[in-house]
Amino acid sequence: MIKSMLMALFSITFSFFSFSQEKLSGIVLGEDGKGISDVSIYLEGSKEQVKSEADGSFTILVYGSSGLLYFRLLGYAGEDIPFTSEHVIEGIQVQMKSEEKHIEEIEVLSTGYQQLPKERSTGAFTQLSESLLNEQVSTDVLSRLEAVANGVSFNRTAVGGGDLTIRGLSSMQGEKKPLIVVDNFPYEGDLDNLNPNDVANITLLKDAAASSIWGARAGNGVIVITTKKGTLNQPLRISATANLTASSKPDLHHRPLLSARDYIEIERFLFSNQHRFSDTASNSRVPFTPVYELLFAQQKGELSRNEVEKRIAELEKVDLRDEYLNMMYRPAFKQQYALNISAGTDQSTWYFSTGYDKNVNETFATYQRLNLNFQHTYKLAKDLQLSSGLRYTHSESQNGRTGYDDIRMSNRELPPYTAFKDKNGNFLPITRQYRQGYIDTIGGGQLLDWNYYMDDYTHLKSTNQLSDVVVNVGANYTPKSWLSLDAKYQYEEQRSEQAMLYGEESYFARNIVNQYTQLRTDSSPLYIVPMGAVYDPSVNKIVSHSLRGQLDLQHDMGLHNIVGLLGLEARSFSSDSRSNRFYGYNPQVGTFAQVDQTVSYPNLVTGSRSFIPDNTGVSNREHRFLSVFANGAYTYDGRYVVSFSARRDASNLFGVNTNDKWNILWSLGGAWNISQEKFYDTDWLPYAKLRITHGVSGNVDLSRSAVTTINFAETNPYTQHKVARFSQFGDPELRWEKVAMTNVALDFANRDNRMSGSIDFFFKKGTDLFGPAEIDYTTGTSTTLTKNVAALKGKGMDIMLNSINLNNKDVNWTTNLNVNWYKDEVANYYRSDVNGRFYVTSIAPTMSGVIGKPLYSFYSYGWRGLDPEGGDPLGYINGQESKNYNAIIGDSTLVSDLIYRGSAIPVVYGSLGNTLRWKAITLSFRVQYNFAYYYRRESLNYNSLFMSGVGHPEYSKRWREPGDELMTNIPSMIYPANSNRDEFYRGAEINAERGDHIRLAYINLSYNLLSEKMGMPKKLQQAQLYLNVANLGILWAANKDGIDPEYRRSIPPSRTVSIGTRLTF
Amino acid sequence: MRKIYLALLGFVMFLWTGCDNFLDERPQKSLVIPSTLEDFQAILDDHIEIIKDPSYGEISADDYFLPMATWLSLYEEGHRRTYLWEKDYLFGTNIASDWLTTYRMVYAANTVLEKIDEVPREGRNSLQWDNVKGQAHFLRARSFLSIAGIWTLAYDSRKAKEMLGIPIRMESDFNIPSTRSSLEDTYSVILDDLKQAEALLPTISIHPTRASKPAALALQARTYLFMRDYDNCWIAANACLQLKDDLLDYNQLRSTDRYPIPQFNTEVIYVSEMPSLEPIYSDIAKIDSILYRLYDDRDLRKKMFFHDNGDGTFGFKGGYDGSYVLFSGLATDEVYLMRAESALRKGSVEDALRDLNWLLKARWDNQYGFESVTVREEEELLGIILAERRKQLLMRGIRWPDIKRLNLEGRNIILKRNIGDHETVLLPNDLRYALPIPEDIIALSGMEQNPR
Repeated sequence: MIKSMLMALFSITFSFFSFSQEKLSGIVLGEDGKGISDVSIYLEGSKEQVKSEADGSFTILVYGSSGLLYFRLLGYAGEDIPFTSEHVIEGIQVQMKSEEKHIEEIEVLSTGYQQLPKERSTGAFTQLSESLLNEQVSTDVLSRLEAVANGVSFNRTAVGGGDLTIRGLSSMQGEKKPLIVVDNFPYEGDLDNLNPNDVANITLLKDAAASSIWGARAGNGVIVITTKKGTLNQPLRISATANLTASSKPDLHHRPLLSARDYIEIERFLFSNQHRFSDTASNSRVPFTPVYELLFAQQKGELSRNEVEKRIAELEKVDLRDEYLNMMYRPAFKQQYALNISAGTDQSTWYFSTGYDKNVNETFATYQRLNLNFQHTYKLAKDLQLSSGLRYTHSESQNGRTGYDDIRMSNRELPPYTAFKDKNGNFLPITRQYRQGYIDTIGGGQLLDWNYYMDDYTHLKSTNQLSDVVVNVGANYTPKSWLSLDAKYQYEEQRSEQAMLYGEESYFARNIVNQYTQLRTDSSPLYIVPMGAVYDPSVNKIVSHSLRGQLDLQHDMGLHNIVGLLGLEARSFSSDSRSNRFYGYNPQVGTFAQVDQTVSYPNLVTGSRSFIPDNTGVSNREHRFLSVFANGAYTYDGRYVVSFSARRDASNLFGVNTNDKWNILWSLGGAWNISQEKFYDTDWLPYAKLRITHGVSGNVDLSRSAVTTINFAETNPYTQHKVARFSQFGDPELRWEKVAMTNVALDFANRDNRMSGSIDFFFKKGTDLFGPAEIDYTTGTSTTLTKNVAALKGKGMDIMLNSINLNNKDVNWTTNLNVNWYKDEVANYYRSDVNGRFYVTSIAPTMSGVIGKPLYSFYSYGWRGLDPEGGDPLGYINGQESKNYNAIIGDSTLVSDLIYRGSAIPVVYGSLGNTLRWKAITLSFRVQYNFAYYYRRESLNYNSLFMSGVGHPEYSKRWREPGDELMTNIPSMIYPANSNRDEFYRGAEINAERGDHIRLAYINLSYNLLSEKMGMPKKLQQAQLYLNVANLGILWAANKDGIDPEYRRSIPPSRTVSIGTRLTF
Repeated sequence: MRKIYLALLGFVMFLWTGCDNFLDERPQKSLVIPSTLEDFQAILDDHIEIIKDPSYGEISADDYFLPMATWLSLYEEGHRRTYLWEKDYLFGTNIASDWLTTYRMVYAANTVLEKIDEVPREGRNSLQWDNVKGQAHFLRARSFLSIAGIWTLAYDSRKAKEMLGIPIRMESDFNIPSTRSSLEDTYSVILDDLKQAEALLPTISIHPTRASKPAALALQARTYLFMRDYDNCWIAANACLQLKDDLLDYNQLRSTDRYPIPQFNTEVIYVSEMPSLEPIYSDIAKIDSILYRLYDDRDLRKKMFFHDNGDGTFGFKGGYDGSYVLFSGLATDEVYLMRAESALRKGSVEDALRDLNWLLKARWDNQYGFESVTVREEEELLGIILAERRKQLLMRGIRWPDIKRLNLEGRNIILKRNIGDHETVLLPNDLRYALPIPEDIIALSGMEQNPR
């Protein structure tokens, strides 16, 4: 099918080789009559772009005999010069005035479908230049956006938020991430594959007019990454970059942890209550902590009281976090090298780049990546240009040591007094799965050592090898100056091979062998699982084909300018995965042993039968899309712009009939260059442009279906028939999510560009949004089902301000401010449950769905204080003081009884960057801020403390005796713990905190050798040395506890220091 | 210019001609709309989900007890409350998984029953067609009966029309609201399904995890027994034993095994299991000491069913699932006991004695001569049969509905729980014998709650 389409497309494209392309030469002069170099020259409606030479001369390819050329250079007023056939023959001379009028070098915005001069756009775009992106150092590209991009936020705390969002959430349950486009097509591989040194710029498509050309996947905004290419008539240019980044060990002490002393105190208390003594009879030999075992030994008389106290005193000195820091962590270290070479003749251009990254992270895990990239264009004829490209990435990663929290006991966290080694440096057994006394004696020496040691990582090897190839070919045919036909095809294949090797000595391998061993009294043990390593290889392959045929129109008739495109696109994406497991594996010779997975065997510990775990699996996905799209813009006299865009998408969505697969998404827009009007005569604001757009984009979720579907799983071992489980419970009312957005904006610049920027107001309305709906599970489906349940309204504002505060030969100071405000509101939610419990914000906030309130709302239980008698937390039922926790948590608290504070995710966020240049030295630094939201403080939960050993240092400040309620809000310890009492306390108003904070994202100091005067070698065009410090932490936070609101549950990223250099020849 | 239009036309054509096939590819090979008998069988052959039974009845029953320290350190507040027959919040604030998993089986059965009629029944597939449909009817009946056993009071034919039954869901569409039926309707739906299952299912299934005709009959007998319709109970039990009457000779078992009774043994008619929730987990639950003392030392069950905890208490290891998982399916031992009890209640002392002795002989240690029960006095014999019923069928999810039924028969069974010095008592026919429907279900559906 794809093949035949390809054929058709190429036959169409190649049937047009007969129109002409002309070469237009000229010179750009300054007011003094001297040539100006580096002026960007663009042909309207084309991607053609050249720069003037040192003497001001240039040559540009034009289509047909007339058109419009743009001349742009920072510090000069832009010139838009129409040309005619005379110019083509005789050349053209252009004079540029040095008075600054326009914002900066004309921005050509890339939507992935066309290049668009910013002046003629109606939509909301944000473009990030290479130099801005390069103020940060990182292995990947996207992580650099957070600190610099207007309208982008990262969600680190809320559940279901999507990591990176543009202008807030548009979907609740569907895809929440923006579409990421690299050059022309969505990137299906791992984004970590991209070499950041290949990126020329990044454009964010924020409103419907900008993004609707991407149709059903554009509902969350689009990020278009444009990579570097060669340009015509460009001499060989080589640039090289190298940088090194080091970071300190992570701050494990950031995490609140109960002290060993308090932990042991609680264990003694539990022991005195015979807590979990029933587990001593446990068939599965569930473990007890070392202190519990000591107390048991004392109780049985095996150890004296003094001995037990002595050993406990030893344990009290241990801090698990230090154990981890000493043994498992190191400062991370990253190296990055890149080389780009490009050149162009008047017929062809080429660009070659390579990059190499080598990282060692803080737990010794390694990552290496090699990038190769070759892009080429060739003019076969005046009117026909062919392009081809190959991008190859190979990366390898390998696991490191054991990270904090990676190891737990089977029924609780490791106690904070867990020591890894004894005084002599020998590894100590870590109690994890079974009681120590049991594994010490079971088998009488016939089993493998059943202890876990913290050097287990030396026996594990987890590797991932990834190769990604992107091949693209394209043809652009320009038969008429107003018409060009474009065909593009891209093939991407990403193959990742993962292998997990549990060495023979690893706990995993020893444990699984032991578990299935059958001890026999009359003979040696029978090993059901063969001894040796366990090897789990898996392969995942992603293949995507993208094919696009596009017709571009552009016509300029004096005052009237029309630009448009019409196209068709077919895309397929398939993913195949396979995984296997080999027992008794010998990594040296690659041999393995057979196991019988059709028979169940008794477990040595519990005696119950089970099958030998099988890691074999095959899975596949196939997603297909067909799209038709068109857009157009009409400009009158450079003053008025009207634009439209429409797109229809179809996909192989399951169970929806073909008609419903099609979905029209559209946008309309208008722009008014007010400052071009004759009546406009405002000196202080020489540039002003008003933009208004409205449109609808969609959101595809391929996993939804209107009919009941089943998924085939394993084979029933008893009947040998395949087993199927429900994957979708049929919902005949299923519809597609739609997001409508209206954007009203003003672009402006004042005299000398001292202050320039834009203000966008936008209104978003999402309808038929998928959301979790509580379901009466008597229906036999699930407790929550995803349905079209909600509608969201949102309004927001994106402000971007650039100012030039100081500008002279030696000193230059610019400021860039991004202010983003976004507030959403649930417009409709068919939620039948009004039980307050489901709305109380937890540590990681979830969507609450109360009509008229933000999607992520912050709700708490009313707090009455602690009961002076007993220190129980007091809440309210119907306004009356109560400690009937079952009822408070249960159906006696309705949403309307809860206290609403505000949003649980930032309403205002943004960044402020400053760049100071003094001669060759440039200093940039950027702060980021998040304002107007609340978060729930972590607090003490007695039930989790008793049952799984998760404590909180506030334990030491708990209520102990009457009168304490005046000093503390932390409830008394009771036994047995009441989980509802804990839940009430956690959700109570006193544990709400404001999350507002400002952090210093990075500081970048660079030294630029710009001229020979400064001692730069002649051959060098640019030489730069830079120093970058990132993750500098919180500058200000509203909370007084020193908590980083974004990293409350995780360890904040360590401060990094990078040094690097960039050279251009 | 013409070329351009031609090209445009070609552009559009290639889309139109190709798009149908292009978009018909399934997003995932393993993902299908269930439409064939194979698909339906695959749904019903889910050996993990489709064999579950609720266990809150067993948690509420009196075959076991918990020492105070154990009760205090239970993980779930809801389990602590259920153990003491509290009036509400027995699932804590968690999802009532018993309710969900059981009604999921109803959904599976409904899906099959709704769609199977779209598959034509022909000579070629008629056996498989009947078999699949029969399994679905059986599954729905089994699910409804286990819900009824826990969430309704005992069936009383005089009042069943007015008594609250369970929500009966006969369609898969989740938009249809749940409502409570009368107890009479509940049981009549169950019997209806079982009659159809009996007619459709084969005499022997390829594995006891699949339903068979004897399974449908055994479940019918159980249903009639709970309804105290002993005439019909006898007919069904008798019909079942005509097809399958095997008994396991406990002398062949080794009491030293961790779980002496093998999975899928010869007595098993149909396999289903209760999740071993913490209070009834074999390491946690202590067998009621009065119950333990009922076993004669020569009775092999005393060794095969219990392990000595070493502190004067005993744990249960006699499940018919060969593991710590609690068997709650159907086995011939139960059918023998049902036939014996209903025969006696009909006045056939001889028949009752024959079945009782036949069963007990297979439980008796060969080393000692088996002494047949010879009691002929009806009330005394009934007492013996009921005691044997309790001794044979403990920890199988049957005791809780049995207590309700027997209390309606006037046997005055009073349950007691002791936590420290505090004693909690559950009197016969207390409203709390019908557990509260999970509070979240009531809030979501607006259904009537069981009065407690």
